[in-house]
Amino acid sequence: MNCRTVQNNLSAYLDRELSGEEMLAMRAHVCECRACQEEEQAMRALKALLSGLPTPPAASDLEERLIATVHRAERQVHHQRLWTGSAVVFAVMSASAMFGILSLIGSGSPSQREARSRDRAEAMISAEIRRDQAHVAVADPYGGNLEVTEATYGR
Amino acid sequence: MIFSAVKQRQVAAHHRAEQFEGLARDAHKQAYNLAYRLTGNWAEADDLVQETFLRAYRFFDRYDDSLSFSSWIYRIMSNAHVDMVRRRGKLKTTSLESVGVNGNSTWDLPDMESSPDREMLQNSLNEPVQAALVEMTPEFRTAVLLSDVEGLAYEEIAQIMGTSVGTVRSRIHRGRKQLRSYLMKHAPKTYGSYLNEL
Repeated sequence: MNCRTVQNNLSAYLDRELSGEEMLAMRAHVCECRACQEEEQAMRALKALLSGLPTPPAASDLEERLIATVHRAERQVHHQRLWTGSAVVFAVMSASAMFGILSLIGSGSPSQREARSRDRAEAMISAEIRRDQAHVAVADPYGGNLEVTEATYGR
Repeated sequence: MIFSAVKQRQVAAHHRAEQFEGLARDAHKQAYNLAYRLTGNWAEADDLVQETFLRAYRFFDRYDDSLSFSSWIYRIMSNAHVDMVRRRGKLKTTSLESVGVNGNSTWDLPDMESSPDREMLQNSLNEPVQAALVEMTPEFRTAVLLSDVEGLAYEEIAQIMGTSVGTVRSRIHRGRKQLRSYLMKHAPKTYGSYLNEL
């Protein structure tokens, strides 16, 4: 191992993140090379500085503010679900109501509906008269000379 | 049937919130420690912690046991910190934290003739180390903090940062070199004395 390779791997060596074989090779070189020894000590000192940093004091109410933030988020999620569910129900009900209204509009006003009903009845009666007349005509042996009494139904 | 399903969902959501609250109470101090080291000041650290836990709650459905809860929080915090840096530009620190003693660009104490012991030297380097952290490349800073402050293995750091072990190794090594360069430039006497005490 040369000095450049060793110094590039010093961090991993100090963190014990090399394979066993690599660790042994690194140690052997560092023991014999003063420059790499100094580099290794400097890197070790830096690690100690970082791991020795004091824990900064958090604000005394940080924990409670965090929990309050979580509760607000929970309420927002809950309200969103309620709104979403309500919106779906409202949409379904609106669609049903709209369908019913459109059906009523398409069928026309009450007087129009009554007139249409009357027309249908008259058409049925006229059809029955024609059927009866045809029957009489067929039954008459002289044919063509119908003896039909005036229809009284259909007035 | 619909109402019972709705009720079940409400109960499940409440249980999930209680579970998250317990985990958050256990992890918040550690999270604040990392946030402070990432940002360099208590106000931004506070913001970062709030944002991190809010995101964590919203995505709690996606949390599984492949990472410890604290490591999962670190992952979220790492991403939230990157977003914060992008929004705010270069990290802002207080004047005390950025320029050293008496407003000079060096952190060396004026009287270095006395012989401070190793502990005193280490304590006097706390602020310059924090200033150096703020100056570091963000990815290097995160990797170094997770390794040297949180004591995590490279494999776990790689999972947290969403990268490979090789990249983590490189970031940590280059981050420590950046840190060392800063201390040699801005606190040469104190840092040199500290090294001599070893």
